[in-house]
Amino acid sequence: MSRLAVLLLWGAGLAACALVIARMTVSTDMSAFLPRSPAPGQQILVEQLRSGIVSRLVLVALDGAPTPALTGVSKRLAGALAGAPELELVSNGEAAGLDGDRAYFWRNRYLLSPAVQPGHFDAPALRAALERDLDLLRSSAGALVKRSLPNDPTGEILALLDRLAGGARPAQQDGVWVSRDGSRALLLVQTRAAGFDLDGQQAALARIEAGFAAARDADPAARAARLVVTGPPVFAVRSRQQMQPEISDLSLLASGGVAALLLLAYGTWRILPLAFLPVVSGALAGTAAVALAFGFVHGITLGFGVTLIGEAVDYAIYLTRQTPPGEPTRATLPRLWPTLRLGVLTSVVGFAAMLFSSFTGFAQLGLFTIAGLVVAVAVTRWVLPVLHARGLAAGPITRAGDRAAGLIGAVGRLRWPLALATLAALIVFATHGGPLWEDDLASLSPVPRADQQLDQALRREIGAPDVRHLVIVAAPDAEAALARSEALGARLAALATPAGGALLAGIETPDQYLPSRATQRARQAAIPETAALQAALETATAGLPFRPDLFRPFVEDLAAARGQPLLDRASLAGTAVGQKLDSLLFARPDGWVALIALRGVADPDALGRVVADWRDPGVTLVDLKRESDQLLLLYRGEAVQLSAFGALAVLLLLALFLRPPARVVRVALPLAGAVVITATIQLVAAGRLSIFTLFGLLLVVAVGSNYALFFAGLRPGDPATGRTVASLVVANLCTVIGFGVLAVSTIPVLHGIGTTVAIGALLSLVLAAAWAPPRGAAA
Amino acid sequence: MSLSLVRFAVALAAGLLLAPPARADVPPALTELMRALAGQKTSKARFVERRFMAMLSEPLRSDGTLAYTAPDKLEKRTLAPRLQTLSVDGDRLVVDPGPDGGPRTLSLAAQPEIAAMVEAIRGTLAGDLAGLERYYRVTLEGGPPAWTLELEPRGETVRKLVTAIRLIGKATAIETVEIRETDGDRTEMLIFEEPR
Repeated sequence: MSRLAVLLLWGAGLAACALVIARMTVSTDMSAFLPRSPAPGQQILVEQLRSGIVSRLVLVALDGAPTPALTGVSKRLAGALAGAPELELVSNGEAAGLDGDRAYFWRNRYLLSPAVQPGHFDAPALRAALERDLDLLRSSAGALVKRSLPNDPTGEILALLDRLAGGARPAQQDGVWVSRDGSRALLLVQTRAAGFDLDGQQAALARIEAGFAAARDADPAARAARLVVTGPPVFAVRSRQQMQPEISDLSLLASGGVAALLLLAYGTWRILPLAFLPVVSGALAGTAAVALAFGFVHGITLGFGVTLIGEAVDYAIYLTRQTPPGEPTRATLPRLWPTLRLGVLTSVVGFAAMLFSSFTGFAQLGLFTIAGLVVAVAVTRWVLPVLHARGLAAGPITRAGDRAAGLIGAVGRLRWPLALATLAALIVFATHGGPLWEDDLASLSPVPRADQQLDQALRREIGAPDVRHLVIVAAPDAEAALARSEALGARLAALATPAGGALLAGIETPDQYLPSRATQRARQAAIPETAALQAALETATAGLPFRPDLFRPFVEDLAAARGQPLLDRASLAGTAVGQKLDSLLFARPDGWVALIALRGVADPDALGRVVADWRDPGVTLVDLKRESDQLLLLYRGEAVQLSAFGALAVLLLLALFLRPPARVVRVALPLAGAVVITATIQLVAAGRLSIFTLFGLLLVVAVGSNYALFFAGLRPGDPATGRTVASLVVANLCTVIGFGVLAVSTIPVLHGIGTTVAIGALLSLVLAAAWAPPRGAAA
Repeated sequence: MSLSLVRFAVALAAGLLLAPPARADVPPALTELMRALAGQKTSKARFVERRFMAMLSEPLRSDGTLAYTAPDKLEKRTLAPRLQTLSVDGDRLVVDPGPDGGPRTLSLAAQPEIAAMVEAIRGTLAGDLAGLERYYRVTLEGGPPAWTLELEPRGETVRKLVTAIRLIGKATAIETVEIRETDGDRTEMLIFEEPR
């Protein structure tokens, strides 16, 4: 192939990749990291994370000023935010904010109240209700209930609002929510943008901040007031804000460090394009391959994938560093290529296991890496010799590199001490007490622990839903879903009573906000006709001190309720309750789903057994915390399994290609040693291993296998030995710098991978040198 | 019963005071009264309550016992016509509706209307002027031997319901609590302290 043909082919390939990339869709949808056939609980978990009501809830606290000033800010803020296009709901406890809800419950109380049953409005029942009313009037709540009494002597609205509050009500001062100690005013805000729409959520947060600044500045007494926001939207936006600059700073630092090292090692800037061309080509090819194969590229694939093919920088170093100054690059190829090819093949085989992952995200990463590495090595093999025909002049540290080569040759004497160290690490690892893996999602989250704690504290103060246990009810249509939710709600409520085992504290069902049509009709049928009602009322009030005609509004309201049109989803439009209903009752491609939220589950296992005993395939009990932990376990289990398969495949490959078999040992032992010692160091340092450590170890194998192959291929007395070892040292320093920089990151994933790879790569080099053929480097 | 010495001159001065006391400038008689009240650590009393309401043709009557333990425990036990207990301990409000159902525990802070009523009596018994001032503008008529405290609610929520609360007492004992509501209804509670 002529040089021109090579360049044309390469250029055409890059152009094609660019074309594919220009048209691809980048997704940040978490469902790519769901198993391909998710359990219903996992599906619900991901839906809740993506767009559920919880993912849109912002908890707002105002502090730093006297309580009256804070409550003033709260009122002005709520007023300013009401009707903001980015926000769906703003509540600070003021009655005005709940007007829509109260009106809905008040107007429709007789269709909504479960107490409305045949006999509820007969004379004896009315008499009992009226006597209860007199007791209420005598009590300290008398001033509160007397206003609704003429319309609602049977107390339906009190029961409904009581159930709505769910027992937990935040403290109030000046009519707005405050913390128990009065140091904070509290608000709840729901963003319109769903959990995955970070731009939308960022705009919503900006709106809250602007509203707060204006509300604070309106009152000199509130000058010192501070705004504290928390909740999933805040975490998501803040993580992105924190991660973007941190990632770009660290990448810049790492690239700068690598570039400086290369300049130092080569003494010419021409090394830079050469070193980065294979990586860049590989990244483009990997992205395009994933876009073509999957139809979309996940954001995580892009971020991680480039890290995974970072070893491609080494390829150019091997080529340029191992070519003697002034000599044709091509002359180096016959010696370099077989080893390099095997090195890339090892990495490809190792990552190929990921292709079989049941998580789309993992499979994408596998494909990205394979395509990226293959293209990178191809560019190194065919394109670089064209662009860079002759070896670079020896740089200032070449002689230092040669000396390093001699030093590494001396490492051969450390072979047995290092083997002993590996054995010792293995023993430490094997006898490590306590759990091996970090399975607490919170510790893997980029959200600082202090922020997580603040979030929980505010959540408790404000009584915000901390949706964890859910019963999922599947049905063909909305009406059926509501009817089933009513039936199941009754059975679940029975489990909340002492007689039912007090397995939970309470439930929230969609039918509390919108009963099924059948139930609404039954309640209408339970309301007597006006004449009968009046007669019953007359009997019931006899001898009680109520003024005559006091209850005429009650009679009128009941007559209206008997004839009113049935409620549907439209009746709730624009209310907070409507939002709630939408989060508990929604359509799926295969039917409708009603969610019953469980509060205060005391015995999840017993509850699980009871629900399982119902043997109802349409009903599933879900613990979202357990589901997300389970998902992490699945990831980790699969990652371990795939890594094991990958390691096995790498061994087979080496056994197949390496002759004599002793060389397999020379390659495999240092790799295994590096992995074991690195894992042990991480285990001892952090107490646990995380899934990020595992990713790091995969990279250690990919990078380290190249070192081991090169060392194992050294021949005694070969004049190229010094250059080969020098190239390995430079490549290794690049890796250690590149990943060592990540180790300072505060983001758990970057820190985990960075430390693992930096330590593991260094160990790989030392161990590979120790296991090199005797006298290889020294000759 | 620790009745502190009362100075005539102070009582006179207090009687002359008409303007509502500002925090920084509490009239000496009010300070004196509050100190006297604060000196009493426990008290027990019987009460008779009558509630006059426009919607009823006759007042609602109830009676029972009151018990106070400094600084913030108060129990109102209604004995007739029906057993009902309302007890407050710090921020914890427990309503026991008697034979009709189990007791319910509420946070006082979450019930500003009830909190205001409770604080009127509890704050007075505790001699806690700062606590009273949090909810009310406090005016004193008379002096420690025989006094009338007029409490005018500050909070919007409470102001919608209650015009004023008047507490009439002698020395460290409250004798009458009168609550006037915005719609003209009123409640009158007569308190008979049990001798100790």
